[in-house]
Amino acid sequence: MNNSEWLTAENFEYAHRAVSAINTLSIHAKLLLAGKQDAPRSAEVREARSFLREFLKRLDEVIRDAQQRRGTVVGTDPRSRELASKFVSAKSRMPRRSVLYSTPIDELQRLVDSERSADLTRLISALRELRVVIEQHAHTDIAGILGDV
Amino acid sequence: MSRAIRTLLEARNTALQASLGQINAELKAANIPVELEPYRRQIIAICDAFVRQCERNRNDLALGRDEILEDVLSNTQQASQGVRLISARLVAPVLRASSADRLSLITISWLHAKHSATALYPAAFTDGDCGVWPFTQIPPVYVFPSAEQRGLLYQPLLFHEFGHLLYACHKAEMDDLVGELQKQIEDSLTPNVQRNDRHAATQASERQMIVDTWYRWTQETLLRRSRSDDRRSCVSLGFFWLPGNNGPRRFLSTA
Repeated sequence: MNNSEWLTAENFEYAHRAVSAINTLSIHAKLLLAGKQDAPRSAEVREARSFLREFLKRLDEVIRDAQQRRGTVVGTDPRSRELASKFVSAKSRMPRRSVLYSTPIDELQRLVDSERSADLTRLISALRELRVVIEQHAHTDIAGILGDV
Repeated sequence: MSRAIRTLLEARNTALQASLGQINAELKAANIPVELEPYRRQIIAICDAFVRQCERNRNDLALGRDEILEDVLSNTQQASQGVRLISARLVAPVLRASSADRLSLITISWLHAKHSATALYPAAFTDGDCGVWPFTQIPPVYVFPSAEQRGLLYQPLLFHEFGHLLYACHKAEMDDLVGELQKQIEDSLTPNVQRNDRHAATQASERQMIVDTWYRWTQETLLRRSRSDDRRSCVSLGFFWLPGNNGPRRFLSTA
């Protein structure tokens, strides 16, 4: 066993939860926009919102820490720090039409809880972009745990 | 196009459900020591949860809404990864089980029972180099070399691996503690006068590499002083010698 496989396992599990939460909330938001009830998913949606709020808070903390410490991040595992770095780097390169990168994180946290139509449209775009970032980032951890199949 | 994707996803979810049914049957048929029974129950429950996820995916496909196809695709990929995790990693402790596993299983059960954060995790291990997959939402799995499982001599290595699980259970507090150490290391590496050019970015990147390495080292080295009373068992005492210091400095609070 690779001596850092414990770190890979932790991050694999975390990314899996994050993507599941994104999918749950994304489907819920799209059904709401289409005027469909999504009652069977309500407990999962509550859990997904709670997880994503915490996820965004953690991401925000790492980014702020990096800015305060002139780019060096401490007190977080290297994989989470890499995810935050990719986020910041993508934000500086992304076109302005990107909802994820043009919206402050505290506003994204508010969108996660909103059920207003205008917010739902923005939320769906932001979740789609966030899923891409997490899935790309998690590829290393998935390969580390499951192998390259 | 969307109809073809829908058909593919429907078939994939049906196939995953069939695989899970097969895994479930093999798990139930396995002859295992009584100490492994809680683990088997939890893995069967995880299989059932993925079967429900596949059912949910199929129900979502049946809604006939194209806008959610990308989400159902991602959920199907998630379920595929879950089934692969079960098949490649999680079933092994049950399917390879023998009566000779009892010693290590009892040691792991005892360790888990001693801590409120881990008391509900069942004991399980598989063959391989020493290690642990410290999952917290699903049961953690220890890895232990085959010959060493049967004797007392190497059992203390499980304490070290248990420390990784404790760390994962108390990640936020533990990261804060390790962060204090990383800050001091980083401060000692940062020059008093900093340039404002491309070399500064290179130096910052090198400092980041060093503090990241210490993140891993802190767990690996400090866990060797494991005790078994509470979360501080993962920290113990840390004495390190850094350039510019007059002697070893104590960075982390003691157990």
